[in-house]
Amino acid sequence: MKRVWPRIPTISNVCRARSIYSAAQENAYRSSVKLIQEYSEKVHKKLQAKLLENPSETSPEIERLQVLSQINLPEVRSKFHKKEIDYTNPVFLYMLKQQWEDYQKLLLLQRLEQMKVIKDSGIGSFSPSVDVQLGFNPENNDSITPGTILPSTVTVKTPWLSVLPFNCKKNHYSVITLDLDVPNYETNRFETHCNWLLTNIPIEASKRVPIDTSKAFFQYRPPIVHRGEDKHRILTLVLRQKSSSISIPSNALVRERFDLSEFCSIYDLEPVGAHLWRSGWDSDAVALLSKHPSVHEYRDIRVERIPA
Amino acid sequence: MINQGLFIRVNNFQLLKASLAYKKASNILTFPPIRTSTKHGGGSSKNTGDSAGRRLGIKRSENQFVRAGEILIRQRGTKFHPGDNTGLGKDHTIYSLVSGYVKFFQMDVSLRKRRKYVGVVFDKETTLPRPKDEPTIRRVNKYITSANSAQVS
Repeated sequence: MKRVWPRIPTISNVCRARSIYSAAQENAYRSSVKLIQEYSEKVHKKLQAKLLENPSETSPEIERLQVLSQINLPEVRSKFHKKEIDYTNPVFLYMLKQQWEDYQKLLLLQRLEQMKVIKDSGIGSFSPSVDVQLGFNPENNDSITPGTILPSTVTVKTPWLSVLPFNCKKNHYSVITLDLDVPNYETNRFETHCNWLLTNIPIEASKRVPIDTSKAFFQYRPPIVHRGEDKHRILTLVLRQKSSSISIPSNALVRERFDLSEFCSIYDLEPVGAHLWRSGWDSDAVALLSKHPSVHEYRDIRVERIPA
Repeated sequence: MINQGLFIRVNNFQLLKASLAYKKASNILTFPPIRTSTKHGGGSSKNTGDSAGRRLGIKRSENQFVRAGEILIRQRGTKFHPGDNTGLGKDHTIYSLVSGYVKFFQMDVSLRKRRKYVGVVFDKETTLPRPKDEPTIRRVNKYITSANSAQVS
């Protein structure tokens, strides 16, 4: 008979060792929670005093105190972790902005810079401050990562757009979609065409619905890419309006050869958000674009490279 | 007692003969003479590598017209970095992506680092590097080969 060594239960040893420190951990947690609550009450008193001085005033200092008084509380952190976000509370908006700046903003800026969108569109300098989510399937709210190459079966539909400004103010915005890579074979240069233009859209953080796209100055036109062309960069910009309503005469703008910097300077618009996707030619483009209501005079051409 | 028994049984003459043969054999075993060296031997060298030249360097000079795909620089590592309208190969060869004129330029990439670049421009008068906020200078360089019937919706 083979000898069997007796098994020593090591897990219970670890548990017993852990139980030695659990009291200390509990004490440390209680001390830290008490410290956090004391700091929160102190900031809250300061906030109340400042509000008593100037009632119903929204200043950056008051918002900062509001955020500081609640940001480290365990219940606030727990709600944010469980995605129970109250969009009227500045604390949740602040944490959302931090989370957005950690990844989504960096990703968007990387795509815009690497694909030379900021240079070619003529914005000048661009620093996004609102989160723009764009998708093409209205059933689910899966947004498209900036820079994705999309087939024409997807881009032929009108996209939905969701804009989240990270403050409690209500502003009016314009949304414009530009095609930066429209080739002109006569001049051998590239032009910018306007695919979509929406104006006077009220957006605030508490209303979490996609924007209304029915009243558009230019109806959505899918990107027209012919066979043999390179991929087009389709840029969607969210521009904040200084005034709540801008009026554009119907013959003041045309889709072709759109000048974005002139448009922004005339109507006093500031670019605050962006989104980008790319479109190429595929075999479904001819059938879909020739029947689209916004596409007039679609010419099915084939393009080849001039031998160098 | 045992030895005496063996001696008595075996013939004495055979034992004596075997003993004498062994002695003669031991006397015959001699070693050959040692030959000493009479000349200086040649040494061996270790620095024997001499490989063929790799034909590296700048292949196209400033303001020279190149076509797409032509090699501008062959190098080991990135002594030159690719600029506008140029690409970098697997062995750091820099080649042109468009037809144009070759330009060499330098740019600061950090506070104390300055890089050398080679780029291709479409006009000989264009200088590199271009300003940062200027749109990219691009050419379509394509032509329409076949146009199907225009479909007006």
